Amino acid sequence: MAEEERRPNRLSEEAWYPRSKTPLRRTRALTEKKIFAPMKPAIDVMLEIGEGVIASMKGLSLTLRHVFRRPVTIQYPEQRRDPFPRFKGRHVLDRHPDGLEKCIGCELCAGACPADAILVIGAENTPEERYAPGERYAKVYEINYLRCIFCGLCVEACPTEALVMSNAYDFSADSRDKFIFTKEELLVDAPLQIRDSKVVLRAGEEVGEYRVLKEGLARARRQEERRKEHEHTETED
Amino acid sequence: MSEPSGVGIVLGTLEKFVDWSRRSSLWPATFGLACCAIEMMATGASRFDLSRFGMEVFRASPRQADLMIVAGRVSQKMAPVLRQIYDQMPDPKWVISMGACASCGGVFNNYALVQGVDQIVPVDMYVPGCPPRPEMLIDGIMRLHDDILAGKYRPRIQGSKRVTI
Repeated sequence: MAEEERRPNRLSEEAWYPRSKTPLRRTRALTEKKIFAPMKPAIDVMLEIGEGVIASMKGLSLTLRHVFRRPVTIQYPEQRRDPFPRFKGRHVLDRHPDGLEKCIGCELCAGACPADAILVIGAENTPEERYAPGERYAKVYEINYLRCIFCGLCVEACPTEALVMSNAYDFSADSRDKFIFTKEELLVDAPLQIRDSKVVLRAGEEVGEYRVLKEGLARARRQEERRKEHEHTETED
Repeated sequence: MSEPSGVGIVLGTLEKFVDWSRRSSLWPATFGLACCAIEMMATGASRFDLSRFGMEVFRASPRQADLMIVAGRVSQKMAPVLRQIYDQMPDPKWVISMGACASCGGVFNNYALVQGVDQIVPVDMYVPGCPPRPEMLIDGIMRLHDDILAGKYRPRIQGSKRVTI
């Protein structure tokens, strides 16, 4: 009695789900969904089959269209992507046109390296053993390519543009020792950027086997201006 | 020396065949840890297509994998997990250390990261780069293929506890 008062509008189970009607409802629902479709005209069946065939042909045509498209796969070892003009690959130590090394052993690259991958030990040039113009040269120059992250900060830091980055990138190896590239391996035989001091090589320009990554245009211009000033003063004198 | 010479020829050829078959379906375990994993996924995708080398199935279960590509920096917390997955792999197995972080910590020289995954597992091939482009990874994989085909890992496989041939 108390429960009836609390919920006066509550219908009994019987009223919600009339037990006698349930099976009838169920069959009706199933026939509406055509699960129990008892008989169908043959023409309807044919139409449905036709629809199915058309739908699957639509799907297959998409697949077939790809047969005539250009394949996207790059067959890597045989076929190589052309790297971007400013691609950062393995480093190269450049030489001056007269054959002397550009590197002066200043260790700025080692200081700029965020991964501590570069080791430079400088030494004094002597008249008997001259490697670089000026006072000093790099006695030891090593880059550990397992540590190197190819960010190019060393190239930006280099004051003499001795360090440039090439396009070489595939040099995996099975031991750690093979990744420490010494000066002999890094140094190019012939000068990489043979150029007059006033000619400015653009980034992406090809020199021999390598491609110039970065040409400090501002720096080159500044040097050029300084040279002009110097020439002026010389002529004035 | 006492065995007939024909046996050596047959077994030698069989060993070469086994090496060839090992090389031709080197299934990697899915072990992407950081940004290198993005490049690893790109390597498996259609543009670079690792399935050209029978390697497109990156196995989620280490029991079905032969090769672990450690792609990314390994934190101290991840190290025991990595070792466990390596131990769960069945025995002719190889490890590629992909990228600067996995190989030696890279720029992250700090307390949180393992400075080189070779402190935990034996590494067979190092791939430089940060991250390596897909070609670099394929290059490392192909060098590993060549080593397997040349029989470089045969003593290690035969010397292991579970003898496979």
